[in-house]
Amino acid sequence: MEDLILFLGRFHVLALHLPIGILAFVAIAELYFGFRAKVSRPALINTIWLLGAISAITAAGLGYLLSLSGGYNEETLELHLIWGLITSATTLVGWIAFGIKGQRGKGWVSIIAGLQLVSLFTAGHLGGNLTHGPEYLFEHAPNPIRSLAGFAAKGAPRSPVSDLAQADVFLDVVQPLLELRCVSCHNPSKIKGGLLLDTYANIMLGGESGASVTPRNLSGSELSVRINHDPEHDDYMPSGGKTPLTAAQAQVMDWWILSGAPESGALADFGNDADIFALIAEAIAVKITVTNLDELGLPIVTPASRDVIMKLESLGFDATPVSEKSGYLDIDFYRIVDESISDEHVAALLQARDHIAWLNLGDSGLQDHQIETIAKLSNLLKLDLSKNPVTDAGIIALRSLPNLETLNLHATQITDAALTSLDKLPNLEQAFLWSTAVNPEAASKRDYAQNETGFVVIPEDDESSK
Amino acid sequence: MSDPEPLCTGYEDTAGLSRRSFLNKLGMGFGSLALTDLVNPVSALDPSALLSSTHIAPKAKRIIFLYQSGGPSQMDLFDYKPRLNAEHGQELPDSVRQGQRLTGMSTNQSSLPLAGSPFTFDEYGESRALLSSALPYTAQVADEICFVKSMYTEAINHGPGVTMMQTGSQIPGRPSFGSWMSYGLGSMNDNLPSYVVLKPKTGGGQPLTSRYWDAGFLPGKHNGVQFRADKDAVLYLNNPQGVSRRSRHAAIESLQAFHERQLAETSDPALENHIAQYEMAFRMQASVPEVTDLSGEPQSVLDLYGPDATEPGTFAANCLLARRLAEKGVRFIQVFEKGWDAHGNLPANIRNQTKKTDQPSAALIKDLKIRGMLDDTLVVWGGEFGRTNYCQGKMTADNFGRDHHPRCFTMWMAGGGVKPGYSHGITDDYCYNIVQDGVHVHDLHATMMHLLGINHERLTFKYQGRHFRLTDVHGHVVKPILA
Repeated sequence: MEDLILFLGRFHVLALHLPIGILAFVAIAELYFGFRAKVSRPALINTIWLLGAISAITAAGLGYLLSLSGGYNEETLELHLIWGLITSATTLVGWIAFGIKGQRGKGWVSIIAGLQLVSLFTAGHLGGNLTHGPEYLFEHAPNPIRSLAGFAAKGAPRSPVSDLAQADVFLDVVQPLLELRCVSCHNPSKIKGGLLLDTYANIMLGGESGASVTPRNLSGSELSVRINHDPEHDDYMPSGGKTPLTAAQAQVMDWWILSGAPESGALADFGNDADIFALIAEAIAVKITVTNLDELGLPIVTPASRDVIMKLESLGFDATPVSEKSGYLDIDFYRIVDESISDEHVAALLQARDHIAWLNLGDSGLQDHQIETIAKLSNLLKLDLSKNPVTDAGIIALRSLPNLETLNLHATQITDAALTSLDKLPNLEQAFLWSTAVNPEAASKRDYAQNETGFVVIPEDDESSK
Repeated sequence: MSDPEPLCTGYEDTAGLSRRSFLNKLGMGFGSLALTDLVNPVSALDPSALLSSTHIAPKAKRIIFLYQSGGPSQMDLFDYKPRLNAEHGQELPDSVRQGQRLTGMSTNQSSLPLAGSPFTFDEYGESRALLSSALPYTAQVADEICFVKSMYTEAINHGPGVTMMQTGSQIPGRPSFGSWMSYGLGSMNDNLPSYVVLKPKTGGGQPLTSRYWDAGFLPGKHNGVQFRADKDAVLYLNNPQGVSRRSRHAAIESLQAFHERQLAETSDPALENHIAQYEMAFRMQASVPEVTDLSGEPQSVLDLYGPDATEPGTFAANCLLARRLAEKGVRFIQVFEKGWDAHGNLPANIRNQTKKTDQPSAALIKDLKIRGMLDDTLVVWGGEFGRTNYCQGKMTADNFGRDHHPRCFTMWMAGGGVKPGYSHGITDDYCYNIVQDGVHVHDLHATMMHLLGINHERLTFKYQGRHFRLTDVHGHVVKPILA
């Protein structure tokens, strides 16, 4: 029985459009013919009054059935009911007065048709508020009109997101999504399921079915569970065939919950994960300015060709793209026992001269003159030349590497003089100088040779376990 | 060309294309390359690796896992619980145990008295890490270490526990972590295996069987290779007496020729493995003696690892060897230590075990650091589970034991992209349950893979009709511990 009531009740939303059209027409027509005596009033108007009355009473009846499902603001609902009944009654009076009694007096016409229009629009407006929320109609109204309608002037809108990293995780991402798809039913005047999604505090309060958001717990967050249900599922949200969240929007909601459902904070504070940023950009329809930097912070390059990689592999290098998203290469070389790296090998690296970001030639037997070739790999970030017989003279060539951040020279034949070369490297962050003739005191004056725990530079002869 | 008939080897030849025939087809031009790309998951760039590149730029290029078999006691080493000392001898409250199951060894005990740690704790380093007085050397490198105090597992006994930690499943048969790495990333140095296992030469404790480093259903070449503390570091690798290297080379070449002929008629991944192993073994005859020879290590480095460093098969010597293997591009080096299973005599056990392991573990971190290798080498330290807060067996004034405890235990990591000087997760005052940020073994695996640049959900192997992962259907990357 309850199901049947609800089933019929939902036809209210369909049926109500009939009286709105019919009654607006018939009231205006009656006024027109009432005040323009020269035009004769067609008898058809009487039938239209009857049709209007039937449709209005039907809509009101269905509306009552729908109201039994609950979840509406009680006060608004009561007013809507009263004005709906007034509308129906006025229509009935109109049919009897004009159609049956044949009243044509201007006074009758003004009062009945006027009341008809006023009650029709009042009931309709209240019904709209029930469905869409009281803010709906005036949400985008200019401030003077808003204040006339009794609404507070709009605050300055949040400026559109231009830099995702600085966007607020709640105000710029989560809240707009909720307002777009959820708040029309979960607002103070509708409170479907006892749940309010209009403010952060209300979101965390949850609803009748439990916690809407449990930080870091998707299965404990009704919000996540429901937006991720199969759309055919009874509990799927938004319900009733309203526009659902897109896949990206749902994923962003889940990400927010997994990140602890923070109330505020710049997106950059939640890790600079490029995938997440792309997802958020898609969800809130922000065009992120395409960065022109690779995953490694170097300019984007067309990935090294397969041919070049195969060539290097066939020479005995281990050559791999740094990642599937990066165009740069990570190259290691492990020599066969005691066989020093040949000039041919080193020269082959030039085939990928713009692509090599990480290069490990440690313990390869590399010599000073070969460093000149290495120094042409201008995108090198990490270079390992450790355990090779290289000297200060060879290191000089490295000065031309603009991007070099990490340089491993441990167990080489360098001395303090090499530091003058290293000082020229603009981006050098770390240099490993252990087991060289570099004076620890000279090294300790350089930021790149510093370390927090104090055991990086240990001269071999006076090093001890403690 | 008719399809070669598959052999009954137990391997599923999904693509109908073996590596060798695949490589041969490369010669037929780009069109056939595109075709083979479609049917064969093996990367065209490095046939030994599944992934032609990692999913994200790796933070760690290699892992050294210092495996502490038996289950070290978290509250005597890392997880300071003064309340246990305050309530020493009192019964474990039911409100803490909450009816959770115990192991068969202490479940029939009439009393479960709490046992406070006999070791004192102090803060070390700028990170003010709380560490036990049993770990003076680890304390020196506390600022390099990321402690995870909220590890948990489901296993309550060693076999399933170690199997879980090694393979992501309590039931034997899945590939071990190192095998997955070898399968996914291939080898950096073709002269050495990509997965090497080092075991203690002596000492009792729970047995360490080879299935812990087995490749399971992955091709056999991804098995961990055990290096023994012996003149034959790898068994059956050296030539028999009287056979020269040249002669051996000629024999292998002839054998290869026969294998090639067989491959031309039948597609057989198992045979491919054989060929790869023969080739690898020949190269290893030269590379293994070189890497295992510690004679070139300066005295200062030997001193760093402590007095055991020159004694082959000790934890110290194995840690040193692990560093040498890491320098040579071995991706996954697993050093096993035994003897943490202190059901009785725990105070003495902890003293003995830390005497063996504390200095070498810390030395490895220092050694990697001075060589500039700590940044891209992930060091992992821990066992299969923790130990109970209550005493197993008889409790005397200065002696007691602890049973297995899977609900919380501590592991630590250093280098390779983890946050240094950091402690993750909180256990309750009794060190029984996790209060915050629990990290399951699957989560640890997912995080280790993330540091290697691999999305753990995207490295799979199809076996028995389904795509298997190391983390199965579980695992979350523990983001707070990433540097």
